[in-house]
Amino acid sequence: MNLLLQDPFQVLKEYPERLVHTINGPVKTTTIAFSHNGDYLATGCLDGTIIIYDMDTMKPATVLNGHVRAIQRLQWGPHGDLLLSSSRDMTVKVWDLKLIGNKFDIVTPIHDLKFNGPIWGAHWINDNLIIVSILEESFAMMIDLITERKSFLNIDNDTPLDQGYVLNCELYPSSSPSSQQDDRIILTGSSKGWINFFKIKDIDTYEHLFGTRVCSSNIKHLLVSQNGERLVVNCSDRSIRQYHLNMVNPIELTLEHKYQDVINRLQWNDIKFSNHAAEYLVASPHGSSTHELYLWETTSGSLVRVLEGAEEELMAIDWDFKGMKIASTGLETGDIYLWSLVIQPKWSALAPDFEEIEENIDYQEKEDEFDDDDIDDENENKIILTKEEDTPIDLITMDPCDVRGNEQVPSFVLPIDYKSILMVQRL
Amino acid sequence: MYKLVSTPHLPSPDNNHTYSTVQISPNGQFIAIPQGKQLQIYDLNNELLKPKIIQTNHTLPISDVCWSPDGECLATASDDHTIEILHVTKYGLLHILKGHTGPVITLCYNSKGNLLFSGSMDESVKTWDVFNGKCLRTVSAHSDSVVSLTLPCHDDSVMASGSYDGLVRIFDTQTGHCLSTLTYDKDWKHSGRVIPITQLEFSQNGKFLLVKSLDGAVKLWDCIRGVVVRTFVQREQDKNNEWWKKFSGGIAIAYISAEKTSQEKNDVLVISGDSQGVITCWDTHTKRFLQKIDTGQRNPIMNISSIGGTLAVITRDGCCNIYRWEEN
Repeated sequence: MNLLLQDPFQVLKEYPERLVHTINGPVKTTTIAFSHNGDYLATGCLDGTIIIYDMDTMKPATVLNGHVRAIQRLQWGPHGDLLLSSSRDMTVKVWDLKLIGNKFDIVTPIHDLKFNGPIWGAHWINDNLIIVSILEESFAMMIDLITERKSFLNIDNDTPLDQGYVLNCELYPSSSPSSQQDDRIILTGSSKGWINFFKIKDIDTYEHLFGTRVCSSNIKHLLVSQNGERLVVNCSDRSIRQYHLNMVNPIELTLEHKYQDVINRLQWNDIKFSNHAAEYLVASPHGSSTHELYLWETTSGSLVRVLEGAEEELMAIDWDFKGMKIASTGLETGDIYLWSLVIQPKWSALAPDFEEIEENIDYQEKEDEFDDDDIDDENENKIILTKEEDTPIDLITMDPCDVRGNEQVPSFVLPIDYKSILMVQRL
Repeated sequence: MYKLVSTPHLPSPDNNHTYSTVQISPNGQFIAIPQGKQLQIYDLNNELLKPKIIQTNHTLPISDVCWSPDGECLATASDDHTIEILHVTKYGLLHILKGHTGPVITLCYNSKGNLLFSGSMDESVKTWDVFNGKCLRTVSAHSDSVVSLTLPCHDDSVMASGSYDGLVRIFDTQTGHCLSTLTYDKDWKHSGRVIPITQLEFSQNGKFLLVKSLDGAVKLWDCIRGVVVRTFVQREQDKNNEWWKKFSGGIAIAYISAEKTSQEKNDVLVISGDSQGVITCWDTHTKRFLQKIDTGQRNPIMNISSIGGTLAVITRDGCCNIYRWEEN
């Protein structure tokens, strides 16, 4: 609600502008993920540790140990209380964050799934189904979390084409994110530039909708905008391709823009879309000479902002739409850099009678300004007052969206681990 | 209609403590009453049990307590300028928060339970990190004691503070900037003096703020627009009573949504205590007078704590009554 009381011109800026904070992690950070409401930042480290930071205090709220190699990807569950972690140690783990601080001393994962190769990434499809892309596997694998049964997502094609290995997956957004009845659409990207669309009902019932080749190299990232109309593909051929996505039958992809660094010929380490219709795209360039994030306007394809302040090459990016923050990890130190909006204090808020003005205004006395009898004035006030007192008010219902148009979802609160408070005190 | 269900704490004749507050735990099972330097915790499900008594390290009496949102901890504010955070069931003392330079008057947790806000007679509001007990921010924006702090129950981004300087300010909890000031500006113009604020309470959605001032006026402000949308006044017949005019500091307000109403919609009541041990309930929408609860004690009401349909009330001499809402 604080945003409602701020200057709307400062609040409604569409992207973060200034580096506001740097988190120095104890271990090099490899991947980051904001929780749904931006309350927490989950960070995966090079040694397999997962640290969840509290964004109010910028301090670690909890540490999850279990992985023994670098974390590749982290994703918060549909309700914000589960965390899905995928690692190069060939396992995917599901952590129930509600168990923090309870009778168990150490939080252990509720699912510990082993695979035959290091994991590129794991994705939630719904509450009970996840999809995993594994090193040197031609197909993504679905796992039913209730039975822990695994099944490959095959393309039942008559003429099997070598599409390379599946490197990543993306879930097409749906209006009801956690509903299990609905079919969900999954996109997979391969090492030979293929994108495939699947419609998934459950682990055994799925349908291959469409496949196309967008380039001849690795697809490093695949993102669909929140409204489902834009697709962006980061390939290792040094360009980011942005498509307009039309979910008719067959699915239509129309190339809108291609983002390239024409001078330095850089690859892109990571990309993220802004919310809703994805009007902005942010990317971290590869190479030790660049220490910035680039931010483009997606309709025109023009560069609108370079986020500066970091002192090293940036890797993973995440965008918190609620708090309007962009976080990115540094390649060398593994520190986490946070860009946000800096809203200037409104000094006139301290004294409501005063008004902040841009420039001097010549004072002109009004006709009745110093008239003695302010009876009319008082009567007027009374009328206004009675009007206010009769208008219906609602003290219970929350606004469905925040000022920036993000849907308000019930927030998950990490339980406080009192044992670790005591432990820290004894040190 | 509120019905008296029990009186867990009675004033004892030889007791010369003054009581300042009672707080119901978030699950509605326990009540905490500070008595001098110790805390008494009563189990409302088991009235016959003796209270659990927790000794604190405070050297002067406790003036306010606050349950953490998970119901496991109590924060206590004391006249000795410190705040303690105690884990009630298991771990005992977690932190002693030092930093205020005057008696600490009021405490409030945010809904996540990771931050604690405190207001003090040193005129400042401090934000504490509950995990490590460090002070994160000090905001000095009042010119008298800060006596009441409140945060909306689902929104941690704003905090309201009320002070004896007569101002109600709304702060951004992330930056500490003042976002708006609600004042009794017009009232001052006519009365010629500042009227101190005594208690604040946000509405459930955080859009409205219920404000009580030392003259006994209860007003509901629209925080966004900064206007008063409801004023609750004593009934005419009560107004003529002599005691109404000499309102003391013994006042409290509570803001509840009764769940057990016969209507489909939740009822929202505004409840206010006075200096003669009488509690008045109004309907928020119509400002209709609903009920007068007489505690029977000719002693000021110090605090009203309300969760769901349960109401805990304490008077200055320590009489604590529990009321439950029942449809007649």
